[in-house]
Amino acid sequence: MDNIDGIRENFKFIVTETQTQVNRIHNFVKSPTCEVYEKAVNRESYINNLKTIIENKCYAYIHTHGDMDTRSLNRIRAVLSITANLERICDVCINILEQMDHLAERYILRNSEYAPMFQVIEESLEQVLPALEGSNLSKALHICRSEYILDALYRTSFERLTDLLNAGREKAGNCITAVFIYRYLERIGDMLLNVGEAILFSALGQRIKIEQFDSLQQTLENSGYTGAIENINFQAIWGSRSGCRIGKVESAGGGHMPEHGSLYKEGMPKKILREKENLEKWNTLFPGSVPRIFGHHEDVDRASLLIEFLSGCGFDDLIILRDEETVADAFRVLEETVRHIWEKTLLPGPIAVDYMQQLQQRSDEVRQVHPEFAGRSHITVGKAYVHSVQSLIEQCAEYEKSVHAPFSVLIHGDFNTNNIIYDDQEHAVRFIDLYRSKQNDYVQDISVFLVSNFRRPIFDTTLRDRLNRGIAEFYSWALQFAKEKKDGCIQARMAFALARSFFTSVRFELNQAFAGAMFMRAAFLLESINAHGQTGSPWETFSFPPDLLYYTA
Amino acid sequence: MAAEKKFIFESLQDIKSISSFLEAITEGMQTGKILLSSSDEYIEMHPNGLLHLSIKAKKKGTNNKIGIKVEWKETQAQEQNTVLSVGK
Repeated sequence: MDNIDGIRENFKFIVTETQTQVNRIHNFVKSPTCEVYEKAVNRESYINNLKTIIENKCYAYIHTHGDMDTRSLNRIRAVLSITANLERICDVCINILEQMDHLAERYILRNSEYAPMFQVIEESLEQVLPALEGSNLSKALHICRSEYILDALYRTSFERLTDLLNAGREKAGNCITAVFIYRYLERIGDMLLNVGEAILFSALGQRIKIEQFDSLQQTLENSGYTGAIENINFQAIWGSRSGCRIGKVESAGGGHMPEHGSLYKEGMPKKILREKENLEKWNTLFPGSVPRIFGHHEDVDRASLLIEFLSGCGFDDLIILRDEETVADAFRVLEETVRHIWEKTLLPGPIAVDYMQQLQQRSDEVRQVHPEFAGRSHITVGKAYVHSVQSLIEQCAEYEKSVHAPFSVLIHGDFNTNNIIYDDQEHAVRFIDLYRSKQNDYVQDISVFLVSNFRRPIFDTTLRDRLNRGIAEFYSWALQFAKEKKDGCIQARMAFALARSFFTSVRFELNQAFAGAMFMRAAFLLESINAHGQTGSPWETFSFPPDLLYYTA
Repeated sequence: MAAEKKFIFESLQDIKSISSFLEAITEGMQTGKILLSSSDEYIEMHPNGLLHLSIKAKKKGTNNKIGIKVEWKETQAQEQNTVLSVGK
């Protein structure tokens, strides 16, 4: 770390002061003396002062160097966070000192219990400077892990003391004071964890929790990566809607990593496992159509996958950004690829559909974001009656039981445009995010594709035209496919599926007018299905106006 | 001042379903009573006497609009403006 305006020097001082303070308290617990007590209390204000100086310098530096690079800024953020936590450690040291005053009998604290705790803390503090300055991830992880160790040590002491209390062999006040002291030492572990994570943040440029880091490291090892963890560039992409965390992993030299880097996904074991199985299945059936798997790691509550990073352009960007010729090519390749997959996996025989069930599973989320839509009650206008949204959904769910797809195919299951990658060098379309893939009605993929275009909050007329053209192209291709396969009730299933996709997309949209446009389409489809259902006519005679697929800015 | 009561319902309709709303309003005009309600709004309207009707149509590019507005004053006890508006 450069000695920016003397920050490094002050930072070094606060680290050293914290080490000394911890050491003092250790000695005091071992053998309390007035001299050590006074010294420790006196240093408290000096440490507080140091913290203020560092904070002031850091903020002043950020203020006067608005153009500084992200790495330097991250380093300063880490310094601030570490400083705050070190100062808290020193506060806790004083708390321990004060508790010692209340301890009637010192023998209740056992050297064999507190000495290992102090040792863990002292060793971790020794690592702070080298870990931060050398961006040393192993040292940072070492600091993080001290929290686990301190937790475990605390638990042992706590159990012994509660046993003593329960047996009534020791004065309650004495036992409780001792528990407080051990508890303070355990809390230092929490602060050390923050310190370690701040160093990880500084080194990686990403906020990453220790559990995630462990998982990434383990997955890399399982993938056969032989280099040091420091040689990995990890670029996290947070906030995935699917609940998985995703990051891009690249080699920064050393170790064996694939050329284009790879994608790291971490989430619930069930989801990750399903994705893994689906990727394997797709790669067997349609080699190269989905990312290869490089590594997999699983423990009780988290699992992770390291998969190939596909080069190319997502269909979401492609439709908006690329020239018309490329877009036309991409659609042609997409349609050919999808047709190939569907024809190869087509299984004849009717299959039930569950669009209303999918809608119902997400309706609470929609109601939370837009109660004015999803919670709409029944309406009367004279003798005209409009069902409440809830009742419409329930009635449509009943009607859906009588609707079947004539055959099933292997669907993607989350056919959003951002899950489709077009490689214009190889003229190939590939797919990502396959954890929902299964043998099902192909209309699900079509409706998700159409609505993933519709729901984009893009209101520029030219760009909206592009989206509408993409919708028109894919929809007409899908209708043609249905015609060839003599699928007579595609319109009815499409209405169920679109109602589901429009309705559930409302939860991602805070623009009232745009959310309303999607909700009204869903409501219109549900009302049309309901009206048709009441007539008892066959579903083959159902249709809806295709205009509702388009939005005009 | 009399409290304002409001009823708003926005939706997408096709020609067939929109006709049923217009028919319901027409029938209410003829019988002199139109009830508009949801679970928390309730307005009963009694169109009678002299009513002001304005019909507006607009066409701009691909956008089309027909506005039908019927306004009247209640002739008896309550002295308040009553507006029944269909379209925007």
